Amino acid sequence: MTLSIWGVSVLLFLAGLAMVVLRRQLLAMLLGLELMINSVNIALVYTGSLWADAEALSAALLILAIAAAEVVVGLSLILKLNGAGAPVDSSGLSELKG
Amino acid sequence: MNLVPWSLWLLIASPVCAILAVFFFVRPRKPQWSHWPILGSCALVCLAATDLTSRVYAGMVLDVPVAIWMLGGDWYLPFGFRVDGLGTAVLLMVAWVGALIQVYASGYMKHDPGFSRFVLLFHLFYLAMIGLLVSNNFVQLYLFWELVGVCSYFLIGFWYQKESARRAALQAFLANRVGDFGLMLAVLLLMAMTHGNTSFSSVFRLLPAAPTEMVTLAAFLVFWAATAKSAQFPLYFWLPDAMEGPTPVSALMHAATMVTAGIFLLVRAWPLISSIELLPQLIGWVGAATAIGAGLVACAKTDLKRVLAYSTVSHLGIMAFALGFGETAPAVFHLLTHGFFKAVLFLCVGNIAHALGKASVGVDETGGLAAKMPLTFGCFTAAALSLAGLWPFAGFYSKDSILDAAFHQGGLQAAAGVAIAFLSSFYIFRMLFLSFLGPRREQRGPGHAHEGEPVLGIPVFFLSLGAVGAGWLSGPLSRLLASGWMLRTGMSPVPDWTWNGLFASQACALAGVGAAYFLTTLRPQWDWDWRRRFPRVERLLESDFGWKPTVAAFSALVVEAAGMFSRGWDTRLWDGLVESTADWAKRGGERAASLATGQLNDYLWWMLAGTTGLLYLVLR
Amino acid sequence: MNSAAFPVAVLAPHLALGLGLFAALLAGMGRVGERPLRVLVVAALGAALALVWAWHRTQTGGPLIRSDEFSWLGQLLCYGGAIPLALVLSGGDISAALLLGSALGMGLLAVSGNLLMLFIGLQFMSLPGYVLVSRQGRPRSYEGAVKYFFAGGTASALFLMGLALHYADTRSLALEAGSGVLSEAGLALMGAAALFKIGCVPMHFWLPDVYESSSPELAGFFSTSMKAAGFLLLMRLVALGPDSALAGSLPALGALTMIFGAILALRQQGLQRLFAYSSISHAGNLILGVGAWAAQGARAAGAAPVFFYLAVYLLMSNGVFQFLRASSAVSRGDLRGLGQRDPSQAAAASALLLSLAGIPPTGGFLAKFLIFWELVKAGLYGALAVAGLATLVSLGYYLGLVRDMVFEEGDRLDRARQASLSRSLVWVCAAGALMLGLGPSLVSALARALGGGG
Repeated sequence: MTLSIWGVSVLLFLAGLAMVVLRRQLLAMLLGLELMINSVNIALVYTGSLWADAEALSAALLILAIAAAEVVVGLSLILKLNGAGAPVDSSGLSELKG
Repeated sequence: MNLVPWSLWLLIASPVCAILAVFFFVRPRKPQWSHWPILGSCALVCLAATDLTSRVYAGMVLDVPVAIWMLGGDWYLPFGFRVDGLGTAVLLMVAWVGALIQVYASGYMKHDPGFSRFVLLFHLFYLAMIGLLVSNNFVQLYLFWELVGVCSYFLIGFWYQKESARRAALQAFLANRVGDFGLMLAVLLLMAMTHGNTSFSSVFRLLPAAPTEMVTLAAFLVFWAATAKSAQFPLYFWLPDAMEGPTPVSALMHAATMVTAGIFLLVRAWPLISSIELLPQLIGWVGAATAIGAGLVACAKTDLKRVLAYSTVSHLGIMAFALGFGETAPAVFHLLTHGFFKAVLFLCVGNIAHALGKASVGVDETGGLAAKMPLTFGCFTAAALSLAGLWPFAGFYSKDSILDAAFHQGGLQAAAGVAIAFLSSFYIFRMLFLSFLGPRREQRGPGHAHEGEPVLGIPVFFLSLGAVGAGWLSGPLSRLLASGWMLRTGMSPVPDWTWNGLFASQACALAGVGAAYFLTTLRPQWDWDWRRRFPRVERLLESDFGWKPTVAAFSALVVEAAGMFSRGWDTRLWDGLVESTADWAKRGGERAASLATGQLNDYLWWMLAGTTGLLYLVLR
Repeated sequence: MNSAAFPVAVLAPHLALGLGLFAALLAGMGRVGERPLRVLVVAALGAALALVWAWHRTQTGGPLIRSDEFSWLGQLLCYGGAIPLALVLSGGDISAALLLGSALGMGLLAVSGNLLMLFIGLQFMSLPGYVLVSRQGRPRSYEGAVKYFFAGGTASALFLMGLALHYADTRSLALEAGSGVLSEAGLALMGAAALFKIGCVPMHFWLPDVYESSSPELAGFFSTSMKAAGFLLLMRLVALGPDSALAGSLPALGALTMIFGAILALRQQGLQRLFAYSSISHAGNLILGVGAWAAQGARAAGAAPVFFYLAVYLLMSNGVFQFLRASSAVSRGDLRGLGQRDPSQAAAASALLLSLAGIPPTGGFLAKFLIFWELVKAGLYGALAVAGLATLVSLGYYLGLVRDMVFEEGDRLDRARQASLSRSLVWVCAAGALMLGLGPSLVSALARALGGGG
C-alpha cells in the first residue's frame, strides 16, 4: 500500500515536473508547479496518518496554504504579462539572454 | 621588545609618517612641496639602514615577531622583523640608491603636473621594498611582494594618458600576477607544511621532515615567482616595455630594487631551493640563457633605455647564473654593484633625455654629447667600465667572482661566461661611443644640449662613486652576509680572484670595448649599415628571437579560446541538447511542436539536469 | 533549553520586522512619501539587528526553533545586506512591506530547527522577491519576475519532495541527520533547492536575467542577503550529512561554478549582467568553502571562513551595485573616463573592484586566502587549481573595469543622478572592504563566536 501511494505521489510529481519543463504556456506551467507541490502533500498525508504523526499532517496543511500564496503571486504575474496584450507564452520571454 | 634597536623602528616609521603627512597635509595645500618630507624620510631611512648594517656587522642578528594578527582558530598572520647579513646588505644598497634617486626625481619630475602623486607612489614603493627586505616570514614577504607589484603598476603607467604606457603597465601587472600566484601557492604549501608558522627559521627547520613532493613543488613555485619578478626567460618580456615609465622609475625599480626582489627571494629561500636536487642547476641554465639572449638583443637596440632594460635582464641572468653554481655571495655582491652602476646609467640617460627635451631617446638623436655634457659623460663612462667588469671598478669584483666559478667548471659554463663578458662589454660601450662620440652622419648631433641643474647632477655623481668603489668591499661583505646565514653548510664567501680568471675576463671585456670602438667610431656607419644589409637578422633580434610573437600569439589564443568556449556553450551545446529533447517529446505524443525553445524552459531543463545529477550520486 | 516558554528572545527580531511590515502597510493607507517609508524600513531592520545582537547568547531549542551561532550570524548578514536597499527604496508602501517580508522570511529560515520551518522561511523570503522584481518598472521586469518565479517555484517543489523523502526515512521533520538512501536522496533534493538559490551551475541561468531586470540596488539585495540565506540553508543541510553525496559534490560544483561565472562575465558588456556572473563566480568560491568545511567534518568552528567571506562580500557587492545606481552606468562603455569626471566615485569603485578581484591588502583577498587555506587543509588540490584559474580569469574583467574608469578617456556625459546617498554608500562599503582586509579582527571574532558555543 505504502509503495503504491508513494508511487502515485512520485508519478504525479514527475508529471508536474514534466508540465513545468515541457509546456510553453505559462498557465500550464503554473499548474504543473501546483501539481508538484500537492503530490508531496499526498505522500505526507499518507505517511502521517500511517504513523499517526500530527506533525506531518499539519505540515501538509501549511504546505497547502503556502502553495495557495504561491499561486496568487504566479497568477498575478502572468495576468500582468497578459495585460500587456501579448499571449502568455514562455517562448516569447526571450529578450533577456546571454 | 627592548632588543629591537631604534633604527629598525625608524626604518619603518619614517616612510609611513612621511607618506601620511604628504597625503593628508602637504598635498591638498602645497603639492609642489611634497618632496620635502619625503626627502627627509629618505635621509632618516639611510641613517637607520647604516646603523642596522653596522650592528649586524658587529654580530647582531635579529629575528623578532612583532605582532600576530590572530584570525582565530589555526589561522594567523605573523608580522615580524628579521635583520641579518643578507637583509641589511641589500637594504643598505636599496636605502642609499633609493634616496639618491628620489633626490634626482624631485628635480626631474618637478614640472610634471602629477608631481605630488609621483613622489607619494615612489616613496610607497620604497617602503614596500624595505618591508620586503626585513620580513621574517613568507606570508609577510608575500604581502610586501604584492604591494611592490601594485606600486610598479601605477608607476609604470604614470603617464596614463599615453596608450603605450597603459598597455605596458597592464602587461607588467599581469606578468607579475602570474608569478605572484605561484608564490601564493608556495606560501600556502609552506603553511600546510608548518601548520601556520611560515617564519624562515621554522620553515627551514622543518624542511628535512616534510614530504618531498610538497617541498619540491614549493621550491619550483618560488623559482617561478622569482622568474616573473626578476625578468628571467620566459617571463621577462614586461621589463623592456616597462621603460614607458619615467626614468627615475626605471632607475629605481628596474635597476636596483624591484627586479632584484626575485633574486633576493631565491637567496633568502636558499635552504629550500638548494634542498632540491637539480633546481640550482636549472636556475643557472635559465640564467645563462637569459643573460646571453638578452645581451645579444641589447647589442641591436636603438632606444637608449631599451638597451639598458635588456642589459638589466642580462645581468639578472648573470645573478641567476651565479646561483646555479651555489655561489650565493657572489650573486648578492653582483646584485649590489649592479644596483649602483645600472642606476647611474639610467640617470645619465635621463639627463640626456632632459637635455634634449624628450621623454626617451634613440641613438639617432644623440651623438657628440661628450663635449656638451661632461659630467654625464664621466659618470656614464665610470658606470660602463664597471658594467663591463674592468679592473678596478666595482663590476669587476662582482662579475669576476662569478666568471671565475664559470671558468672553473669549464665546458659550456666557461663558454657562457666568455660570451657574457664579451657581450656586456660590447653593448654598453657601443651605447657610450654612439651617444657621446661622433656625431655620425645619421645622427642629429648634440644641438643645444647641456648639463641640467645640480639636483640632476649631484645624485648621479655620488652614485657613480658607488659604482666605482663598491667592489672594494667584497671582504667586509662576505663577513656581513655570513652573519645570520641560515643554511647549515654555511655560506660560500666571495672568492678571491685568480690570475687565470683575471686574464680571461679582462681579455673578453677589452675585446668587447675594442669591437665596440671599431664598429662605432672607426666604421661609424656600421650600426646603420648592418640593419639595411641584414634585415632578417634585425627582425629576429627585434622579436627577441621569436619569443615576443609567441607570447602574443599564446595570449591571443587563450582569449579566443575563452570566448569560443563561452559562445559555444551558449549556442551549440545548449541549443543542440534542447532540440534533441524536443524530438523525443514530439515522438512521445506531446502537443507542443516547437518544444522548449523559449529561454525559460531551457533554464528549467538545466535545473532538472543538475538535480538528476545529484540524485544519481546518491543512488550510485 | 526552555522549550515550554515562548522563545521571545529568539523571535524578537522577527516580531520587530513583522511590526514594521504591518506599519508599512498601514502607512500606505495614508499618503506617505518615500522618505518616511525608508526610515521605517531601516528602523525595522536596525531594530531587528539590535535585537539579534542583544540576545544572541540565548540558546533556546525546541521543536521548531534552533538558535545557535549560525542563526544569529546568518540573521546579521541577511538583515545587514538589506539595509543599502532600504536606504534607497522606491516603490511605496508595497515595496517596503515586501522587503520587510523577505527579510522576515530569511530570519525564519535562520532560526529554523525543523524542515518545515525551513520551507516556510524559504517561501516567505522568495515570494516577495518575485514581486519586487516585477515592480521595478524597467523594461523586461515582468520577464525577469516570471523566470524567477518559475525557476524558484520548481526549486521549492524539489525541496518539498526532498522533505517528504527525508521524513519517510527518519519519521520526523526535525533537522536531524538520517541514515539510509531515502534521507540522503531527500538531502540531495533539498540541497539542490539551496544551490539554486545560491546560483550554482547548472542552476544559475535565472540569475543574470533577474539581476539585469532589477534595479541595481535590488540586485545588490539579491546578491547579498538572498545569497547569505541560501548559504545558511546549504550549510544546515550539509551539517546533517557531511559525508553525503551532496557534500561530496560541492567541490566539483563550486569549481565549475567559479570558472563558468568568470568566463561568462568576461564577455559581458552590460554591467548588471557582468556583476550577476561575477556574483555567480563568488558563489562558486563560497561553495568551495562549504565543501572544504564539510570535508573536514562540518564542525561549527570551521565555518568562520565562509561567514567572513559572506560578510566581506556583503560589503563589496552592495557597494558595487550602489555604485551602479549612483553613476547610472549601464554598459561598460559608460564607465570610460569616470576617473576624470568623478574621481572620488571612481576611486571607491576601484577599491571595491580590487577587493572583488582578491588583490591584497583588501578584504576580498583575505577572504579568498582563507578559503584557499581551507581547501589545502581539506586536501582538495584540484578544486584549488581551478579556483586559482578562475581568479586569474576574473582579473580580466575587474582590472578591465578599473582600467576603463581610470585610464581611459570618456565623453563628458553628465548622467549622474542626484544620488548622493548611494555615493556615500559606495564609500562606506569600499572603506569597510579595505578595513576588513587590513585589520582582520573580524575573522578572529567570528572564530571565537563559532567555536565558543559549539
